[in-house]
Amino acid sequence: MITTGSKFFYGVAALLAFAAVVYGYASGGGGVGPISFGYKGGVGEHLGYGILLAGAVSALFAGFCVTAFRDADPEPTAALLGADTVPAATTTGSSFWPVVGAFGVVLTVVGVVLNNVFFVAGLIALGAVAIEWTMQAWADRATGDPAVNREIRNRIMFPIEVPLAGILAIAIVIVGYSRVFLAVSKLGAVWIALAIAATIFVIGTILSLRPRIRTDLVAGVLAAAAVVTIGLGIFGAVAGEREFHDLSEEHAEEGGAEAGASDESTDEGASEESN
Amino acid sequence: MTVTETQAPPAATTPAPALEPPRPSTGLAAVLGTGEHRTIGRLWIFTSFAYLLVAGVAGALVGVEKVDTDGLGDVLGADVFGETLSLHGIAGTFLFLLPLFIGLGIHVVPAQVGAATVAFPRATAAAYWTYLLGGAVLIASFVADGGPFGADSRFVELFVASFIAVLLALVLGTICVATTAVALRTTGMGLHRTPLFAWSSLVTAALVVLQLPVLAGLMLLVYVDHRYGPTFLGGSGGVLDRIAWAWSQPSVYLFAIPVLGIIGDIVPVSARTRLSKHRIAQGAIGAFGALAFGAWAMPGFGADGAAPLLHVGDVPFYAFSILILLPALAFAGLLGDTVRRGSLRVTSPLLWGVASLLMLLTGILNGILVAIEPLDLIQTTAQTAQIHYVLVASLLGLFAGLAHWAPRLLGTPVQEVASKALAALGLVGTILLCLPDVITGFLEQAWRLQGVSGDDVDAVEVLNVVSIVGGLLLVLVAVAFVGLVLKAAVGRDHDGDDPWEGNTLEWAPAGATPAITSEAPVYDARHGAGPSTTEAK
Repeated sequence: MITTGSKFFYGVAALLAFAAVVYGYASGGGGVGPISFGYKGGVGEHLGYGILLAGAVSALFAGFCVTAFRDADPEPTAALLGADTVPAATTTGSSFWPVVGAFGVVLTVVGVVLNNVFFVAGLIALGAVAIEWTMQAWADRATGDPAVNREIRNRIMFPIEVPLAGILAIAIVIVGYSRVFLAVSKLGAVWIALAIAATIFVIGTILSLRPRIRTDLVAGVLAAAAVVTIGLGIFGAVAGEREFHDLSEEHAEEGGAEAGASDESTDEGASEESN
Repeated sequence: MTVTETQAPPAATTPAPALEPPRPSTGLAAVLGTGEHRTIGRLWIFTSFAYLLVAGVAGALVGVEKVDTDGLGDVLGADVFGETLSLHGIAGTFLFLLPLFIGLGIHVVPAQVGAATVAFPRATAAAYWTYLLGGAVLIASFVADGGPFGADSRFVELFVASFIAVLLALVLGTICVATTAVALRTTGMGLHRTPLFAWSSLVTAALVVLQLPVLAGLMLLVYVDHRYGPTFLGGSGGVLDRIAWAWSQPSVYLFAIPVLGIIGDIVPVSARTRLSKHRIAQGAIGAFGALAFGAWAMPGFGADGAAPLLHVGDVPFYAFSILILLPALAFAGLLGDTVRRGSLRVTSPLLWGVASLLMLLTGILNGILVAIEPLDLIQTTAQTAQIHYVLVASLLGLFAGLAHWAPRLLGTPVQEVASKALAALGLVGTILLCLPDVITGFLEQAWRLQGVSGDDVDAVEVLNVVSIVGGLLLVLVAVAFVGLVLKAAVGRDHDGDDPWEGNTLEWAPAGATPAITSEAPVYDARHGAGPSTTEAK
């Protein structure tokens, strides 16, 4: 039986095949060339004929596939599985990888136009998303128990994620705050460093004094800290480094001056001697 | 030496502690990580409203330029006008209309076909976030003097790149909707029994998958040309020509396909009967979709970045422009027959739907006029009017869908009286926006600031003012309706009751899914399982 869905593709295939034959004859095809696919006689303009015919073959193939799978109707699927009914699709749990992936796409887009650093960061984000998303999709279906699935996923991924997350956090702190320290004055850098240290100390003290801490709160504080660090780092990078006195040149000048003075004294000595 | 063997006492076998089940996220984390299709659908819908505001403001600015035909470009300047016009078109179609359809589809189609969720919910979420962020970057690139006609080449390229990201997100979103309609239908629901909105979503998705990658590929070509020139596509000024075919005839009808499905679901419910000849209606929507395929009608590549319209005057262009009237008329006839057989109850979704269908039919007639080469209406305001007729008809139709499914989408219906008034005003606004442009097109007013070549400048300027008033009225109607939707959305966050006595599966009471023996299972359950339309035919 020809299914409803496949009729569309068969119709498109017939239409395109007919169009190819008409186009073949209209564009200079001769004999039975357009009908015999060029076996006897020319097919006219090759590119258009080829595209139309390729479209017809593709539609025919799609039609066969849709017929073979019976429009993806549940009844034949259930019969194939030997079940009375097909199990209902289950809802999907929470995942942050879609939003991270979208961020990676946009970062890549912005980077490819404006800045190579963003481009590379976007590609890294997309790579990480590809791995994590695949892993989560597998783990979600590993067993029927969501808690066990999460445990399975964590046992495999934590040994990879935790060190990488640590490295990333350290890199963000080093790069972010170094941009700030380089952008402000010497004294300003000291004050900012003191302020950061004091903030960490105060927040750490407050958290340690609480008998119970919600995980969400700690995650929120860390996320806010990461956003502030990255934001300050970007501002620092945009502002650029402050003007530094080149110490080597100063030393060279000082050294040169001292050397000049000693030369003069030597000359004087020599002249005195000569006198 | 004596060795004393010591043996540890047998350890008491304590059961392993039970694993704590994952806790559901709350607040912002719940939104960012959601895989729940109704939430994702609402996100698409509400975000599209924000981009509608951008499109409306840009459209109003474009309209202001038309008041004085002598000083075209005086208010905004020629380049800024080009940028604003481009933003109006792109935001109105690819950031508002298609995403609004996708949002409705993600929310409604699973319920219509009896699925627990949308297919690939995480891909749906990824598509949404890419659309949101990509759209934001796209608009930022316009603000930074990028986009078509932009002066800053870096931001012109950023516009092109972000537009490609948005297009891919839209393709991914529609694939998820279409896969739901194809692969997640419940037992008994063959494709021939799918509700018309689900069916039209499938047809729309087929067109989107065929057409938008072509546009994305073209944008990639534009990007390479612009960045690594010498340019042969006309620089930033040529970018709009490479995009505008996507909302010109015949591609413009793509945006109207889901509207046919929406109206096809609303009218039988308002008429308190089942649709006449469901399969023929499906065929009409399919034929409309086939004739809306227009990637072949994009401009060619001429010398010095010119974009010649090689298809104008050719037989296929005539054929596509004229033939598309047939399925639209057939569909309208089926709806008329349904109303005749039923007992009509005038609801606000029905009014929005009727306004939409009338404007769509008018737009198709306008399109036939534009296609007739001797009338010389191509690239006049008559073509602008045709585009506006069809796109605004799509907007009205999608609003009909929002009003119809509001109890399911938002938990409560929108205010009926206000919604009816807005539907009537929407119809008036569309006519005021488009009809003057048809007339000025016959008076040889060219589109896109190219002036008036005839002797009827005064008449053209008066008609332009009327058109601007119509456009502003439409903006107000859209803003007011969005306000109604937002008002309905506040406070309720669960599926509400069925105020319409709907026919299709999304209106089935929770936990009481009826057996599916026709395309209107809930209607059957309510009235006793009579013969299905399929069998009755």
